[in-house]
Amino acid sequence: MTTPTLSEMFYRLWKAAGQSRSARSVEVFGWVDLALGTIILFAPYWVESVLHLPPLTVQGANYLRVVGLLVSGLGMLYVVSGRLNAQGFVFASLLDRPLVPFVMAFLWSQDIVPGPLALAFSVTDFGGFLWTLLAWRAEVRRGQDVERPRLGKRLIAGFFGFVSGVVRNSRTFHPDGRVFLGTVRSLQPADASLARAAEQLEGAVLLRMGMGLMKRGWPRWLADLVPDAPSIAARFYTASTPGEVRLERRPGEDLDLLCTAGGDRLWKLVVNLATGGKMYGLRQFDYFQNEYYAQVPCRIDDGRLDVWIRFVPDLAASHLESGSPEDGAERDEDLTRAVAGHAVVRIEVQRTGDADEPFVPIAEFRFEEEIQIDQEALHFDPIAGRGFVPHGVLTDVRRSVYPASVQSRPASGEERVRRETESIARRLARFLHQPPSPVLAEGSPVMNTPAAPAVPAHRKRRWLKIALLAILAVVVLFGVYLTVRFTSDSPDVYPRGYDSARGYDGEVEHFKYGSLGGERTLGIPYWIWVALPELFPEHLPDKTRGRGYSSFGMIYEEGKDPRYDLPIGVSRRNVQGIDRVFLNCAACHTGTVRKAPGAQPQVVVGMPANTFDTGAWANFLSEIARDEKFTPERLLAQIRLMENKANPGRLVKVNKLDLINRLLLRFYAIYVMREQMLGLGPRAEGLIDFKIWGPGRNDTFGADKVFFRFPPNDPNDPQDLRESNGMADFPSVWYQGPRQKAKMGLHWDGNNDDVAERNLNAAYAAGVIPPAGDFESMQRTAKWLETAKPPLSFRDLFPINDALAAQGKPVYQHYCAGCHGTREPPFTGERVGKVTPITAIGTDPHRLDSYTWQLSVNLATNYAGYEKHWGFDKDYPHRFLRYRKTQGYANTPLDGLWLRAPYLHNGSVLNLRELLDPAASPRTPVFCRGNDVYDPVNVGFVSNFDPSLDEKDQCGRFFRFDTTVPGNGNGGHEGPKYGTDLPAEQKQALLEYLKTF
Amino acid sequence: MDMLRKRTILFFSTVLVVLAVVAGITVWYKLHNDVRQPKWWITEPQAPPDEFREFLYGSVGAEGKAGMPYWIWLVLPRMFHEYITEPGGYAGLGRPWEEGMEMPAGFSKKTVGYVRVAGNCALCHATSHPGPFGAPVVTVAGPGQVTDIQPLLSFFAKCAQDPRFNADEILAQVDQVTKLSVVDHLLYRFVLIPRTRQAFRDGSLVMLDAALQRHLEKPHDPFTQQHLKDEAWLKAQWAQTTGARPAQ
Repeated sequence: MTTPTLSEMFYRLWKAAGQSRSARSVEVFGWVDLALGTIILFAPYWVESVLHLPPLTVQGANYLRVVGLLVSGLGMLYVVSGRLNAQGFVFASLLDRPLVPFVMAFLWSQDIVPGPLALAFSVTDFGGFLWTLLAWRAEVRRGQDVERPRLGKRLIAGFFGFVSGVVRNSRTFHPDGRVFLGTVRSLQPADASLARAAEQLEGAVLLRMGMGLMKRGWPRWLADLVPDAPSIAARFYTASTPGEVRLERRPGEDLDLLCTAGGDRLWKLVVNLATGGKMYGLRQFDYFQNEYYAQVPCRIDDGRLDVWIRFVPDLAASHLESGSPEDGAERDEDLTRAVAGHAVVRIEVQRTGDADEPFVPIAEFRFEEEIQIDQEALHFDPIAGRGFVPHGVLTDVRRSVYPASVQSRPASGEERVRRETESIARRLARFLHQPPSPVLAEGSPVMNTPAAPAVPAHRKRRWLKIALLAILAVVVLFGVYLTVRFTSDSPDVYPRGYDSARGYDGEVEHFKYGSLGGERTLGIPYWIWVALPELFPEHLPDKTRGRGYSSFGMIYEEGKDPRYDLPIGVSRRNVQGIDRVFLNCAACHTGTVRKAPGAQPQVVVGMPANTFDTGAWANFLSEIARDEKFTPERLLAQIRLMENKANPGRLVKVNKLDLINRLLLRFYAIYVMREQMLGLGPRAEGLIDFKIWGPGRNDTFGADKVFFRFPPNDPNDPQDLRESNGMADFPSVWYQGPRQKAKMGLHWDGNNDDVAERNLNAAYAAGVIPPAGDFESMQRTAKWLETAKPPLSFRDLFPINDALAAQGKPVYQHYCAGCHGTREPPFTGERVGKVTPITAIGTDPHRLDSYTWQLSVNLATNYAGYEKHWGFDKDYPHRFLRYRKTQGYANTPLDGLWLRAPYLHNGSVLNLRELLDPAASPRTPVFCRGNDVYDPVNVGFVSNFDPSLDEKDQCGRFFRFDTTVPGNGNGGHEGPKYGTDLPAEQKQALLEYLKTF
Repeated sequence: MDMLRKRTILFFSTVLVVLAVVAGITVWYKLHNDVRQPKWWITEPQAPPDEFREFLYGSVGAEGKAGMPYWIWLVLPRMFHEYITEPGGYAGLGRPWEEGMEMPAGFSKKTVGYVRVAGNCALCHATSHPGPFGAPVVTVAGPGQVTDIQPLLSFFAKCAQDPRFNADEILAQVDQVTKLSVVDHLLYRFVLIPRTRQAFRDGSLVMLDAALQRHLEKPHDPFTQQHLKDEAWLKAQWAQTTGARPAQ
């Protein structure tokens, strides 16, 4: 075995001749590796994002680049070996690549290679291995490579096969013709090469004269427009017996030459025919006035000479009268006469390379006689024979096209007749079911044997059917998947039941984290929710990352991670495949209490959210929407960062964003969210001002006015001013059953006495508009609230002087019980739940006035026209019926009183002790809200007010509550009837008794 | 062959007839099916029959010809709030409105194919005066004393001129308050919303049918329709309520 030269190797690399399929698979795999490696080399960060790798350090990125370099180097080896058909290498790759998944699994388990990358390499390597293996085995089975033409040629061949088999039911060109026998004799050209070639042509010739395109079925005008192009197909052979007709070409022995009049090159012929056949001496009605060109170059004399060939009728030698036939019939008569006169046609050749070279006659053939044969059975193979080797692009194409056409068209005249009456569909079915046609090869008589073993129709194109079915299945499955995904709607569920070991109460968990359905409309995607405080710390009240939403006073239970877990009052629901979160009842109705500043806060469900500043939170959302950082790119980058900081101990289990959700967020959801958040401010303008809310309060009915799009308040209109500010404390929500039963006035002004209507309306604040509500879930909470009682009593944290409290009881009975009822449910008392006129109680009127009769009548349209009963036990009346404007504030039961500080509807009285004092005594005029440290002496939360500082610093991180601001007035609920004139010791006793509530 | 053809023709014509019948029933059901007003649309669910409420919210049959789709009626004041300077939606347009009722007096809600809203006698002949708790009390207005409906009609006209009066924007609002079925969605999008807008713009009958319209123009002509012949009842009511009316 000799070592080839390097240049030869380069040539082989370039040509990749004789590449086996297994070698090609190795080459393709090499290209994939090369591409992968290059991408990793040049774009490691992009790779990180695509594969969800942990964030890369600079050093990590550089290592990744080195990996990329190695992979691309490997890819190059594969490419080179594949192209060189290096069997040894292909085999080596079969040993090497199946190991990759195991190696990768090991590396991954050792945390050396990140999972996605390991998976990617495993899949590509093992897939490549399988492919090569299958290709190798297929080759072994088949024994040899069967050459298949390239795609372009296959398409052209398919087209011609289609035309002859389906459209025409005959040859594509020259469908009708006449066949003759003739003899060839050399003209003894001077040139030695030509002489040798001419000699090879000598012998018999089978001639088929064709009349060009078949025009049957064409409209007359078109048939007249396109001229006929006469042709001569000749088969040169040596007759083994005198007068033998060679209907089948003998490979290697016979030569078929196909010549057409109308242009010496194919393109000229096409142009000529397309323009009406006026050029290049085309005489469509006279066979003997034309020159017939082979149109393909031919190597002759063992490749020593390359020539163009043509046939030229020798008018002189044929003794033809130069008649001028005018139509097809005369043309045929002329031909008959010429054959009878043994007309002669010269075979001339011209060297290639120079169009001016003369055509040299080398031989001539003489017509002997016309013969009658089945022309459909006769076909000419335009490939090499008798030392003539046609070559060039056209020859190449013909090698694929001719077999395709032969295979498609009828094999005999008989069959052609039979197929004439077939429908197009039949023909098409046959065409589609025939096996791929082979390529003409010089040595093999493929044309004359069935090209492929006859295969039953159903097994033909089986792979195609399987592939189509597979594609269909994938499309259907994907469609189903997307439908399921985008119609999904599943909240986090907290099963019913009580487990004292875990301290788990299903109803309490549902109250704290159960969904009301608001996520369907206002839901913030979970990952955005957790990313916002991290990305926009400058908009947080405490400007600190890592604390989630705790600086708004939202409550994270002990052991939870504020960066990832949800605070109390935030529920989660998977809507349209995205985990979304929004508020529920507990956001505003769960608070915390601490015994002392350093103590662990105790979560109390159902008490007013004394720390949660809803206004600041809403303000945060509308402010960040205006921030230039609020872009999908920044948010998703932040999310990716957080997703990768795995936190296995997390209580809320969430899925990472998959590709679909990432795209959804990237191109849709974040923009929509921004729109919504931007719309919040302008809509509320002039009706509510989030900035003055402070913790534990909101403007209940201002929000309703926004919903009904009431006109903004005019600051110069005294009535508007009076009605503009409806600030009120969040109430506690225990014991709704007794309240419903006694039809107590709900809301501070007692404007409704139906708990269900009140609940539904309150849920608007959690995004629950009628079409969005999850009413079963809501009913579960409502049901629980009927009997829910304060979970923590004063006594649990601080001591109570029971003797003193006992002295306070009669004082309560005398002064308070008429309006506030008994201590325990059902809170009986003659005026409990009734409205005390504003003139009598004298507390701040803003909240009362903000609830106007116009609002009252409009509230009846909430839920109107919606004919469903919402899971209520009775048929729901389809609208709110019980809203009424009142002229005072309602007398409420005092369950959990100690947790409801500060007092009065607007939280203007710091503690219970001060409420028993007249306003002028004075009640604290300015104090701080939002602290959850309890003051057991005065019964209320600690204020921490520091008057020595600037106004804005007086409360530190808490809210400065100024009772002189409109709406914050701390007057009222005073006078002899209200006990503010009682002697100090009676007040002390009453206070002690009130601690027991 | 002929037999076969006959059968084919028979088959297809049967299918066509069935389809036509189904389509006809659907169209009738969705557009013309006239349903009696449920009682609780007029009063409260458990309340006894109430002639006065009947007068305020009962149908006089104008819905079929002049009824406006309920959901459009509901969202218009929220969508086009700029055209209402006073707070209160329809109340801001001067309509007397009782608390706990989903629509002001003078509007009647009735299903004729789809739920529609039209005017009745009380549209003009009801009025309100301040009640004891700040919310108005609605009473019957006597002949000669009528509530001005021009602000209401000109509000509708302005809405119809506004480019936002289109299916996309109105349905976006409707989707905030209810969940329409796919069929109803299509009905609103392609039929009801364009038709309502066109009716407002053409000045054709909306809220008031031909009889009410004629009565509005010529109040002293006798009524032509049976259901509007209740003049005597009206006068009796008026006499009753004016008697009980607090001095203003």
